[in-house]
Amino acid sequence: MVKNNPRNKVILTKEHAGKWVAFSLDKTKVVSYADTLEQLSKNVDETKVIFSKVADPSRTYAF
Amino acid sequence: MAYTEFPYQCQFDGDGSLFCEPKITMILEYEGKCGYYTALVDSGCYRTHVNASIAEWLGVNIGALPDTTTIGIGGDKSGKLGRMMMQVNGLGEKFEVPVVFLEELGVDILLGQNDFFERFNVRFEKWKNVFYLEPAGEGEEGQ
Repeated sequence: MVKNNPRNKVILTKEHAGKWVAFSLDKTKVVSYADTLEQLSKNVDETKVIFSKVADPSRTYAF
Repeated sequence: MAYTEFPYQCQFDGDGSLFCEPKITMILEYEGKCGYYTALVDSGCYRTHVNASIAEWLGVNIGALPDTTTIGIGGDKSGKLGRMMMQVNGLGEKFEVPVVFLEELGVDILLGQNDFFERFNVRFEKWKNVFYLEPAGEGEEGQ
C-alpha cells in the first residue's frame, strides 16, 4: 500500500492533465498553465518558475 | 554523501486516486540561457530525451542536428541527436549529456541510463511515494 507522504502535496488537478504547467520555484503552487510551452512562457516570469509537462492520468505511459 | 530524498510528483487522476511520478527539477542550460524543468527519472530509457519544445525555448537549432530514431513500445519515432548541459537542482555538479530531442515526447524530459544513471545512484520507494538520489562514486575514492 502506498503510504501517504506529506511531502507529496497534490497541487495538480484534472484541469492540468496533458498541459504545460509553471510551478512556483518551491513547487507549492501552480502559477499558470497552457497547451504549449510557447504559450505558457509568455504568461510567466521564466526565471521564477519550473516548467513541467504534466501527464494525462487517463492515458497509459510506456516509453 | 548520503542519499537525498525527493517526493514523487502527484496529481489526482479524476477517480479520486493519485497518479504519481518520480520527477525532479533540473536546470537546463544552452548558450547562456537556462531554465528550470521537471524531469522523469526513467530507468527503462537508454538515452536522456528532451521534449523539442524545450529545445526551442532554449534556442537550440534542432533542424541542424543529425537524425536519430528512438524505439519504444509505441513504435519508432524520429528525433534529433544533440547535447545538453544540465544539473539536478540543488544536488551535484553541472554535466553535459547526449540527448535525443523528440517532437512527440509526451513528457518534458526522460532521464535515462546514459548518462543520468551513471552519474547518480537512484533508489525508488514507491510504497511511500519517495525516491532517493546520490551522486555516484562519491566517498569511494581512496578506498
